[in-house]
Amino acid sequence: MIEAYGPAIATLFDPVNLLIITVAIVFGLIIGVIPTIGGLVSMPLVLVFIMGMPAEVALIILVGYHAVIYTGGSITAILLNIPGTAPNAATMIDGFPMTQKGEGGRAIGAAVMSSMAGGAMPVFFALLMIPLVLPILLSFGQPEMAALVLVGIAFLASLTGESVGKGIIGGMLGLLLSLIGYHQVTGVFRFSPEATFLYDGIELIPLTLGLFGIAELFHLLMRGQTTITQKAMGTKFADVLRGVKDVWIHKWLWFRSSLIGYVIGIIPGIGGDVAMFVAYGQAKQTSKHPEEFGTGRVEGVIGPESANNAKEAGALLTTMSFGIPGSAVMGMMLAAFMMVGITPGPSMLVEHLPLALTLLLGIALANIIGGVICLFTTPYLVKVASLHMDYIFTGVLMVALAGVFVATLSMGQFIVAFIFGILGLVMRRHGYSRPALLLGFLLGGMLENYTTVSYKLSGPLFFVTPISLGLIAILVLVLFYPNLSKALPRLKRRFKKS
Amino acid sequence: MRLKSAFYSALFFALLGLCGIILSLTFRYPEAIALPLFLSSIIFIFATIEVSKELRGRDRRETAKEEKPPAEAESRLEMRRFGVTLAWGAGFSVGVYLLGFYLAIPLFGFSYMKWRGRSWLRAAVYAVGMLAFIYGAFELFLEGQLFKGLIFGDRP
Repeated sequence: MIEAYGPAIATLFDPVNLLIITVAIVFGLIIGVIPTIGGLVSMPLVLVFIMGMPAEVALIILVGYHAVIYTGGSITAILLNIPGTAPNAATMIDGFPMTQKGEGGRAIGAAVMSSMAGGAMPVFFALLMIPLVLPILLSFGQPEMAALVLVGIAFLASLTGESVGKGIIGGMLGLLLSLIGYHQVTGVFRFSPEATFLYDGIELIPLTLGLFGIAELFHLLMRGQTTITQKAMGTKFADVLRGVKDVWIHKWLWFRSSLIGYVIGIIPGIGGDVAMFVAYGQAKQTSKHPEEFGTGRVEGVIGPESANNAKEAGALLTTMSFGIPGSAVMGMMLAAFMMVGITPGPSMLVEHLPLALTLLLGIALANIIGGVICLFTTPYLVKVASLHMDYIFTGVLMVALAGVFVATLSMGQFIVAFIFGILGLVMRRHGYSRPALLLGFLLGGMLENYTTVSYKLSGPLFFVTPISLGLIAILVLVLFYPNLSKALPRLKRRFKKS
Repeated sequence: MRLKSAFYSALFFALLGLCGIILSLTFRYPEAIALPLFLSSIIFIFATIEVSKELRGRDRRETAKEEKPPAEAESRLEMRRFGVTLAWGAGFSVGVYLLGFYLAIPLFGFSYMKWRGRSWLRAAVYAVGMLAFIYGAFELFLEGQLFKGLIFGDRP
């Protein structure tokens, strides 16, 4: 384990890689500042650009880019009362009132410093956890992996859909879509009788760009969103420094919030919004002045911002070690892993441990570099927030479709991207889980391989192993928990009455 | 109105599941049939449950918590906006198909900006800027090749 740190640090601190990660960070900060874009729209576009790059460079770019998006998002949440990314919503509660009181710079300083430190520190928790997780992962065989795939989809489906049923439909549809095309075992073409461009199956890039990028554009334009009319407020560097000092004054709040973010990040499917609001809640509960929260308390900024970036290390660890992404953006990270030829899951921490360490350390480094850049460039970053929707729509559409063509060299995939754009819009508006669809699509081939091999090796009862049965029990619990949680109090009441 | 569209979306997924079941049964080997049939059946079952829920209006309270159903006029406006956006997207795609990226990009960028009431200069600068960005990013940086268009002899 220790010897893997050498190559990991060498890769990360390679001058070229350092330059690349810095560029990715700058882009991540700019995109984070533009409200409504965030990771969901921009990550599929970044996937296009990492095609053909060496695995470590491609993944370092994504990790660096993604790690700081939320840092940039906090600036617009504080200054303009518009969250740059959805999880920044909790920061607005006290951040914007601080701006109204003339303490915008202080709030930004506190947000950036707590994001920076909160994003870097949990990486070391994650690094400490790897030796504990490794023995568990090594005990996973083919049947256990098949069960793990289903548990992952069920987790994401139950937590990201409007209801468990709608989540499951999303997950199963993703699995089904992954089966389109040539079946290697039998040589049959499934669900692609006339369309030759579908013989190799649906490509990942048009699916991701359509399902998230194009669908999100359609949704925003349907709502008639055009521009952010508020004027960006001026910020002074001295105020920013005051906010930095605030984080030191409230260091235990920062530590607790980071820990909360990290733990919530590990749990698949819970997501950033929960981490931020839980952290905000505990900041309020532990404050000496809880009644002043919502009127512009700096603790109300430190708590959620620490948790927001802290969750990324936990989510990346779960994605890499179990192949279960905690969110849609982590799902895209999973897609990126597969695009560069690495399959996340139990084997990853064994076969690609230096790369896993590089990425975890990359998060810490990205947060530090991103934080420093942010502290000095805040007044300029804010100007990006006033970008009009016309530019966002045309820009994203042109880059997305050019990306689809370069990635697939097929005009047929244009149609696929548009179809998934409309499907994504329908799913978004009616509460069907798009992250579960993406995860199902990514893991469908693996599920079929694992079940086929397990069936051939152990017969129809291949899933009767202790770990598989345990995972199936978790699966059942995940699926029926909402019904159980409603039925149990009713049963209790009846029992009491009788 | 929202309830109605939610019903149609559930019906769409139920039909998708049903199509999956029917098509799965046409595959020649059991190994090719098993998983698609299993997955399509699950989609069909869960989507049918959603359809029946929508018909009974059972989860009306739950959805109301998430998002207030838009008024009919607002919903119609949203559909119009969607139609316009889709038309622009489809227009750009047809443009790329016929003329290729290098003509379709400036044409789309310029005409959209003009349609949105921007000045000639701003629309032109934006169109040329986007063309330069996409050329730089995809042809120079990624060393890819963008489609030149059917009219200019490129094959899709």
